[in-house]
Amino acid sequence: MKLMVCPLNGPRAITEFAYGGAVRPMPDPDSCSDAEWSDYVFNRAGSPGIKREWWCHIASGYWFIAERDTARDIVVGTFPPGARDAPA
Amino acid sequence: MNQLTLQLMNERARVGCKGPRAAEWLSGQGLAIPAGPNSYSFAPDAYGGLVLARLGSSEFFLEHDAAGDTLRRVAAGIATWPPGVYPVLREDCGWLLSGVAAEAMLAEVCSVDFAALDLSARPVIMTLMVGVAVLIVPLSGASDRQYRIWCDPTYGSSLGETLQRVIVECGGAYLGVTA
Amino acid sequence: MFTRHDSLRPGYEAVIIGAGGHGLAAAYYLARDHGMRDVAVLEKGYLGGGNTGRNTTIIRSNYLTPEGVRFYDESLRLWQDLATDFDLNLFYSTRGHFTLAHTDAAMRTMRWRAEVNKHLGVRSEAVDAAFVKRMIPMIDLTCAGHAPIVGALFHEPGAIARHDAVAWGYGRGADRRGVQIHQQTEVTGIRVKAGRVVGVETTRGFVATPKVLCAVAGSTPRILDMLGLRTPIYVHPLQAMVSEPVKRWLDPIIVSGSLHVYVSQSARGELVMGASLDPYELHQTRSTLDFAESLSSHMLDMFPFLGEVKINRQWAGLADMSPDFAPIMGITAVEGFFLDAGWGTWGFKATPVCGKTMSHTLATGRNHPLIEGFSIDRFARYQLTGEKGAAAVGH
Ligand SMILES: Cc1cc2nc3c(=O)[nH]c(=O)nc-3n(C[C@H](O)[C@H](O)[C@H](O)COP(=O)(O)OP(=O)(O)OC[C@H]3O[C@@H](n4cnc5c(N)ncnc54)[C@H](O)[C@@H]3O)c2cc1C
Repeated sequence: MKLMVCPLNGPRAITEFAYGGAVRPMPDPDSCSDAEWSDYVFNRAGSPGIKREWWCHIASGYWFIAERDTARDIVVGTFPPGARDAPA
Repeated sequence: MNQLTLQLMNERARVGCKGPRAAEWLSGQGLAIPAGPNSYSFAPDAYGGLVLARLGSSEFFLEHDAAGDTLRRVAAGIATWPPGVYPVLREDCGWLLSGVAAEAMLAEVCSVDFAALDLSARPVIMTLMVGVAVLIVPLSGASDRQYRIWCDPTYGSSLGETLQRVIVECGGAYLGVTA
Repeated sequence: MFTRHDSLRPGYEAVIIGAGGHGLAAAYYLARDHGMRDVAVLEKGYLGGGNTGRNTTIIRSNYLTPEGVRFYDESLRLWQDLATDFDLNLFYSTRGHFTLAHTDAAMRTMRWRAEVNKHLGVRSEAVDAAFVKRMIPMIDLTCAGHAPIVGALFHEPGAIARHDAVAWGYGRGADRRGVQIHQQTEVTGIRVKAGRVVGVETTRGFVATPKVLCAVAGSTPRILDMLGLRTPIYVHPLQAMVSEPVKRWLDPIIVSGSLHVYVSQSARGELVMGASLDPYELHQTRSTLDFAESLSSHMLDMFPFLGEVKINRQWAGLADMSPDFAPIMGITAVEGFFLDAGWGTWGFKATPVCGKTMSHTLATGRNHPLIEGFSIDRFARYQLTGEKGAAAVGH
C-alpha cells in the first residue's frame, strides 16, 4: 500500500486522496495577452521531475500541497496550504 | 459479553457549525472545546454524554441524545448566524460499533489501524470506509472501545447494508436501532 | 526478421524517434508511398516495447466528433488490408463493440454518437438492454444492482488484433524497403539552427537530418523540452491485466464507462481487461493492487460467474494525455520537427492512419487534410476537438 502523509490527518493510503494537479501561478487575466492566457489554461510541464501539486484528503475535504518525484514515485514532502504554495 | 455488535444511531441529535469564531462561540455556550484539530471532547451528563468533535481547526460536529436539550439550544443559537459562525447541515447516518473484535472488523473495511490508536488523546478519524467518507469517534467503554461512525446520508443505506453483511461475516451481530 | 546495422550513417533524409507502431508505420509509408528510403528509426529500448506492446488492442471508429470519426474510420479501412500487405497474420478479428449505458444521460450520448457515426457512414446503433443480453448472454444486466444497464451503443466493426504483429509487420516492411531501424539508440537532444532542425543527438553520436518525426507516446514531453515547445500533454500510467485462458464465452468487446471497465476475450481465451487512467501523474510502469481489486470487482458486477478465474498478468504503459482526448499531430513551430502524440489511451487503432498521414505530412511539409483538427495550435485558438465522451474509458 502506498502512503501519503496528510498534514491534517497523518499517514493514509494514497487511495484516500484525490490529485488536484500542479500548483501553477495564474497570470492576471486583465493584463495578460491571449497567448499567455491560453498557455496557462492548457499547457503543462509534462516531463518527469519533482512536482509541487495540490492534493485533497477526500474524507475530510482537506486540500494541501505535496511535492512528488514523478519519475521515482516518491512523495518528497507535504505541507499545509499557505506554508509553501508560493510558486517555486 | 458480545464480541461484536453494530447498532443504528440515526435518531441522535446532530449539529454542525464552522467559521473563524466558531470555537469561541461554542465555548461561550459552556461547551468544552477540544484543543487540537481532529480531536473531540466528551461531556458526561444524564443523557449519556455529549460529543463535540473538532474537524480540522475551525469546523465542529456535535451529537447528543435527542431527549437532551443542549443541542436544541446550540442549534437555535447557530441559526441566528452569530458573527464568524456558519451553520453546517448535519443529517449524518450513524452506527455504533462495539465489542472486543471491533478493531478486527474495522481492518476489513478501512485502512487505518484502529488498534494502534491512543484514545487518551481523544482522536477523531476521518477516513474512507469501503469507499465512503466517514467520521469516526472512538470512545472508551468499560471493557472495550465503542466506535461512533458517521457518514453523509446519501451513502447511508449502501454503507449500512455493507456493514451489516461484514459484521455477520466477522461473527458479530446487527442489533438494529439502539435500544 | 530485421537487418542489423552496426553503425548509424552520419545523416539521413529523415529521422523517426520511437519504434512503436506509429513510428514504424510512418517509416513504412514514407518508403512505400513517398519514395523516402534514406530514413532511420531510432528506438531507445526495443521495437514495439512501448505502449504498442502494452495495449489492449481495441479497434473502433465510433467516436464523437466528425474529425475523429473520419480519421478513425480511415484507419479501420487500412487495417482490413494490412495482413495482405505484410504477409503476416495480424489476428485481426472483428467482434462487434458495445459501449454500455447505465444511465439515461449515457444513453443520450450513445444516441448522439450513433447519429454522428451513421451520418459519416460508420455502422453504429443505439440498442436496448434486451439486445445486449441476446448478444452477451452471460451478462448480469443489473450489474449486481449497482448500475443496471439501460442500453448500449453497438458498433459492429469493432475489432481486436495482435499488437506485436503490427509493429513487426510495419518494421519488416520498412526494413525491406531500406529504412534503418536502430534499437538501443536513445535520442538525447535535437539540434536546431535558425528555427530549423539540423539533426539529433543520440547515445551513439550525432546524426544530421532536416526532418524529425517524434512518435514517442509517454516520452513526448521529454522530447519537446529539448526544443522548448509547450503542449497540454500530461502523462499518467494506464494499467491492464489478463486472466488465465478460459473456454470461449465472450465474443464482442465490452466497455462500460460507469463501471470503469472494458474487456475482450483473446484468441487464446484470456480475458484482456482494462480500466481508466491511473489517478495521478507518474512516469513509471509499476502495477498496483488497487487497480486489480477495483477492476476485478467491477468485472464481477457484470459477470459474477468469473469469481474463481485467476489473473495471470498485470502491467502498465505511459499514456500521453491531451485535454480534449484528441491527438496532437503535424507540423510545429520548429521547421522540420513533426509531432505524432497525445495518443493517450486510444492510439493503437490509429496506427495505420497515423503512419499514412504523418508520412504525407513529413514528405510534403504540410499537414494532411485528415489531421487538420488535431494541430498543436488549436489550443491557442481555443478550438478543441472534444472527444472525451467517446474516449475517456473506452480505448
Ligand atoms: C494499457 C494500455 C491499453 C491501451 N489500450 C488501447 C486500446 O485498446 N486501443 C487503442 O487504440 N489504444 C490503446 N492504448 C493506447 C496505445 O497503446 C498507444 O496510443 C499507441 O500504442 C501509441 O503508439 P506509439 O507508437 O505512438 O508509441 P509507443 O508504442 O509507446 O512507442 C514509442 C517508442 O518510443 C521510444 N522512445 C521514447 N523516448 C525515446 C527517445 N528519447 N529516443 C528513442 N526512442 C524513444 C519508446 O521506447 C517506445 O518504444 C493503450 C495503452 C495502454 C498503455
